[in-house]
Amino acid sequence: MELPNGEIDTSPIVDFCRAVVSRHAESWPPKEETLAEEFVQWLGLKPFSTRDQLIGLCLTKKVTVSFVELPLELRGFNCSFENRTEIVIAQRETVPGADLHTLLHEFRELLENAFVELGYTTLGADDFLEVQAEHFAMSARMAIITTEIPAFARFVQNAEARWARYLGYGVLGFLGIMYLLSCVFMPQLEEIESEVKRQRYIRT
Amino acid sequence: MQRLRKSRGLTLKQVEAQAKVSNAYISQIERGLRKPPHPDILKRLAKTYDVPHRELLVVAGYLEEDSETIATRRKIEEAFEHVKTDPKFKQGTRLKGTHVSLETKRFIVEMYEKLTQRNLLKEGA
Repeated sequence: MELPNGEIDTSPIVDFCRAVVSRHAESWPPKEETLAEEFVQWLGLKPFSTRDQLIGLCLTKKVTVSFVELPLELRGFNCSFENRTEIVIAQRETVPGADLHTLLHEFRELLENAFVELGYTTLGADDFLEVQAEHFAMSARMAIITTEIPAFARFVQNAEARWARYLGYGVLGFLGIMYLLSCVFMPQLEEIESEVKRQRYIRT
Repeated sequence: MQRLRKSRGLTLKQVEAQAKVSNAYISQIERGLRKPPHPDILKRLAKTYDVPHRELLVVAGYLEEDSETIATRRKIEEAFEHVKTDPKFKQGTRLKGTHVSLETKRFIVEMYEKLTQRNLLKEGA
């Protein structure tokens, strides 16, 4: 993108999208899961990152992320103008993992803007960006944990006592399943959580 | 009222259960077959729909918006329309439901002002 002062914008997001296009141009668009995996690798996302870690990570890609008080129905917001890109996420505490889900959702919308700019939209006539972004967020959270599973498994494997290994595998399996369920059902979990809060509010 | 209920993804039965107002009565209000409900009922509906009580009182005709509030609302709506149609400004949201409140519109306009260094709400769109 050309800036008003004549400089060319070297947005990392556009660069990433350009690379995705070059890899998948022949079978465009790539599957949402593939795009999510490549994105996770590109951004270097790790499981259980803190808000500060997420802010720092996004800043390396020239995306300013902030957590602020937002109107009740607004979970996240993204915008870009010239060479500035911002993502704002609701500060209120919700379901664990919801912050990351919203961040990924907002990133998917930013990616689509870049794909459109490059002339390679990923959306078909019947597709909705909101739906694709939710799918992307879910896939990306799954990709984050699946890349880390071998490291966790190696850690458990190194335990000396047999009982410790069994216990480790048990805990690892349980946490893994819980995490994957939270990826798939995040929108529903958020709904339940906000419904519980509303009921509490109505009662008071 | 119907649009508000649907934007919250609630059925008449769910509203009945939460606000303790008969679903048949709510349906009649929504279709304009009944006079505006009593302010107490509106208070319960406001909690269920998660909107300010005052907003429903204004809609029902119990209260009048002062001219300043009307002018502010109009200014935000106009500025929001401007933001949506500026091709240089790209924006997206993750919303709970489909309803975009005035508060959210104001937030989006303020983000636009921050990034573009313009002051739509003061200078007008």
